Amino acid sequence: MGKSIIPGGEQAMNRILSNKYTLILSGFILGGVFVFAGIEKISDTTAFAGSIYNYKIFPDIFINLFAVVIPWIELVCGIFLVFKVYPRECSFIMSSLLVFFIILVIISIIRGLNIECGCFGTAGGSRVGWAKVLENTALFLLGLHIISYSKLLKNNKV
Amino acid sequence: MKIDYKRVFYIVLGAFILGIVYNYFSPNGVKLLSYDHKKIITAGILGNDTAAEPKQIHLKDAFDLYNADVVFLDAREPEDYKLGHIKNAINVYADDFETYRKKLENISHDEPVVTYCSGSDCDLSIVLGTKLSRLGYKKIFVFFGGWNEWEKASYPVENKQ
Repeated sequence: MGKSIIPGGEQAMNRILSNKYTLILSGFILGGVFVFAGIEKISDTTAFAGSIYNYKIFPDIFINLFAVVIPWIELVCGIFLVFKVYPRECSFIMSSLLVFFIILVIISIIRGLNIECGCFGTAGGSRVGWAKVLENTALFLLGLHIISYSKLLKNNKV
Repeated sequence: MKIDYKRVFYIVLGAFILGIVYNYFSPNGVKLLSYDHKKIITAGILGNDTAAEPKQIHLKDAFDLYNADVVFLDAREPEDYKLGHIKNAINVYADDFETYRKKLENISHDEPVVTYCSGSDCDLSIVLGTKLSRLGYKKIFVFFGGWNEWEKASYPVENKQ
């Protein structure tokens, strides 16, 4: 267990993941996506509230509150991550949000809902589906990457 | 992989406060603890159209109103209604309005309603819309594509035979 099938593969993988530039790239991609998603939602809170409503899972009383707060969490964490401010904590918040989104999308697929995901507010207009689960999982992995290796980035060991 | 949960809490709290403050000062701000989907969707489709005249709508708007739990009125003959209709629609046959109008007792005049018939080749939905308008209903939508378009789009139906 734990041994790579390719000789030296594990070490090479570790080198890539702990590389300073790979970490910066992960931060830029994840942070950038969250900044964009946050701004799009903030620009039209009513439309985002409508998207949340369409999931038909949240009580009406909380819909506007979620629509107001979630985009700001995304935006703040996105900016922090891009500028390497508390990268581990921000990645943790973003990864938690992504897990929540993944579960939400899977529930919606199972329930047969044909709705827009609202992931980027009114932009894009992508619908709920397995492609969305895959997309969020990829972002989640970027988050995990930063959580696991950001200590190196901070201590300038790389 | 040590995470400072205190920091996590402060980041979330900071973003939370920012969101609330921005919403308070934003011209597009929303009420924090109240949400009326039916009202928002209806207002969006009505736009600046405040006249009590029935407004013609297409499939997309009809489906949005359906998802917002707006009442649908099937203006076709009861025989057609029994063969299949939009889920939860109430049959109010437009050509025999006096018999069917008691079904409207529980629907207030401020409630939005959608009328429809078979499709664009029938006029029962418009006839019903006009009658409702005379009764004092203020938000009447006539779904022009009607049953044919709805069924083709595989949207929720009842009693389809």
